[in-house]
Amino acid sequence: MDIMDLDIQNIKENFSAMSVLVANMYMDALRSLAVHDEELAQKVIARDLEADRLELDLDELCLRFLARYSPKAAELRFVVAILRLIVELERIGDHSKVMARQVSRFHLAPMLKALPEFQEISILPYQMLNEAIDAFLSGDAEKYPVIIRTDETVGALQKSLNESLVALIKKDTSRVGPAISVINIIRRLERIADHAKNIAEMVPYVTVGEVVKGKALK
Amino acid sequence: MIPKRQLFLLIFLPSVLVLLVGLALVQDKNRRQSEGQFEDLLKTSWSLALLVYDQGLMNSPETQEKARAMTKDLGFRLTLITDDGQVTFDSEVNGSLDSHKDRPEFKAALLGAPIFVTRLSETTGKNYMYYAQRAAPRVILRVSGPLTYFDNEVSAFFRQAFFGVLGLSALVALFSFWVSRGIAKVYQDLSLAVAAAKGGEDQLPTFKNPQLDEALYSLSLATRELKGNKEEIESLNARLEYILSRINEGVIFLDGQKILYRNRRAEEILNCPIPDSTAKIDKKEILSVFASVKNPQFNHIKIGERVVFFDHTREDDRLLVIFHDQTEKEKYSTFKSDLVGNISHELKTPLALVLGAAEVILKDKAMPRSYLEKFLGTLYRNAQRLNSLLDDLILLHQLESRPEALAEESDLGEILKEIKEMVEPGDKELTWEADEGIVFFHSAHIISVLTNLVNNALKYSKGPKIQVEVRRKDHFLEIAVADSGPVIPEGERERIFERFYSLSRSRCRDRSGSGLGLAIVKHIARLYHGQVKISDNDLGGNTFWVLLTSPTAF
Repeated sequence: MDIMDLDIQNIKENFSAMSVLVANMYMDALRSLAVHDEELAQKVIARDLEADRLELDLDELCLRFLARYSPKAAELRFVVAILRLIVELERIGDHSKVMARQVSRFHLAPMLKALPEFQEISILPYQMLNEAIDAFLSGDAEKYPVIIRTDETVGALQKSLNESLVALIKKDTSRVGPAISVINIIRRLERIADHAKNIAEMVPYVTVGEVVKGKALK
Repeated sequence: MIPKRQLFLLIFLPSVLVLLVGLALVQDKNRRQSEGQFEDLLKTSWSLALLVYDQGLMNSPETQEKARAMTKDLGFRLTLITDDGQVTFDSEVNGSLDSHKDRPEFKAALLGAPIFVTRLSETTGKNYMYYAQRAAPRVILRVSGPLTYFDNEVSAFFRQAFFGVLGLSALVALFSFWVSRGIAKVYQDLSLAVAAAKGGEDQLPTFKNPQLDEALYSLSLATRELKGNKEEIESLNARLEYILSRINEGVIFLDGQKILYRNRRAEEILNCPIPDSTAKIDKKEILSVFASVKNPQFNHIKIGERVVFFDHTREDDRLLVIFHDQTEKEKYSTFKSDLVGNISHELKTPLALVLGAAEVILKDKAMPRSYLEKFLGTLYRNAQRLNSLLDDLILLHQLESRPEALAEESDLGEILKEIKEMVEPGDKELTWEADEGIVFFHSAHIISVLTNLVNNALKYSKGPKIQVEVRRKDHFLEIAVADSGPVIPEGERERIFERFYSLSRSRCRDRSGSGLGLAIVKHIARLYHGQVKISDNDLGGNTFWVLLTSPTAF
């Protein structure tokens, strides 16, 4: 194994760590909302700094890799993809932080429980993110269309949930604050699904060099 | 082992080669010696020829005959050549001859440096040796003789030598055969002995040479020791492997990127086969562990449902990572925090009512009797609720902490009679379809399942009808309680068996109930290796179905 492979492996491991960290932030943010655990929410907020640090580290690693080896083909695509993916991950971390912040504002657990679709919209982006990262790491170029399509489901759920919440506000004005907070959370979830979609779109780029962003799915 | 034939050729061929080369050398030397002798002879002949010339015998035809006779007696040929190459006399040829000016011996004589030349004579058709030298001004005297005799002598010697060599070769062949057979035997004996020593045999063959015996003995000793060591290492390895394969922790041992060791448990915990290099891993959770070990970000990962904690020790490039599956512990702690939240709420509600009622009664000394009774009623009902909640908790705790299925003989008919007395159907139509007879379950458990299910149906269903069915067959007791709605959504059917689930919005909580009933039912079913299930029914409601298995047939 030569030194270049070692550096690639190092980048891969750090990227995995960042993706796992961000996915955990996401999950913990939602759990802190569901059971109204302020302590857990604070932990999520604190971990955002860690995610930022990892992003900077990976940025540095990738730039150093480019400067040192002037890579071609697969290695070049890999490093370029990582440079873009860490930005997406960092954004997901940010959204998770914002969701966790809502815990200290309102007691949202009962309202979230009363929205059956919330369960679904909260789990789908997480699955998309995990599957996208797995596909990226294993070079599986088959799966990404499924992930990209899930984004549409998330959009539809967001629409329907927003309607329910607007109806709720109309009915009971005392709950405007929490309802708006929930709408905000749902918007963050939708954004996270978007980022996961962006990650999935990098999979065919890194495996075969095909750019699918902005193109209709086959 | 070297084959005998090979050994034989190895000895025989070089020997014969040496003999042949020797023969060639001797032959060459012999020829040279003969040539030297012949040259001396020619020189002497030349001196004699000079005498003949000096006497002028070659100048007149009369005397030429005499000269011819003399040279013939002496056995050589004599030729007189002038400086321009013309032959004026030849002892063997009468008449004129070609010009001799191109002959090498003649040229050499002209230059005053005579040489011996051997060649085929054109005149006589035989091999001749020539020697020419100036005899007088403008006259070159040449003598020459045929090499026939000399050739004969040399070839005779060669024949003899050749036969000699042939004989010697035969001897060498015999010798080679004998030696090769001997060596092959020694070699064979030796390799057998070495094999015996390596195989660790006690009886070693002995040799005449004591040093060889000693070497063999040492070899056998070393082999035995090595074998012993190897066995020891192998058994140590096997023991370690055994221990590591049975501990509850996953172990991965790395050298740089190379994975030197991983136990089976590591693959189980991480839920994937672990290859021999980290470069071949593409699971982000595992990769993140290696990154986190170098630069700590977190100390646990989630793999599907699993929560895996890890720690590590590092020494240079060697890295030992140990994985602990903490799924149960994490699950338990989540469950505990949920439970404490739920219970405190559940206990606090009746307690608050009890306290409130008691406080009102204490403060208002002059309370009218009717109010007092109302408050006392509240107090009593809520105290009762607290009591039954605690009873349920205790039962559930028993079922969870000391689960033992009891194959106790119970009379189904008796049990049903008891339950029918306990249950108050109120305004609902409750129908029973039940087998009777002996079953082998703890009667309290059957009562618990039935009362919980029936009370649940009475409490939560809004429809008019409730049907209870109890069937016994072989090892099984089947209990089905059907209500007439509303239907529990599919997504909640699993969760309804969790403790305190009745708190949820699926059924409004305006009625009392510990929220533990279905959890108790589930635990009893589990105790008897049974099942619980909820499905839709014809009444437009839910059927709760419980199956219990007894170890003994009824």
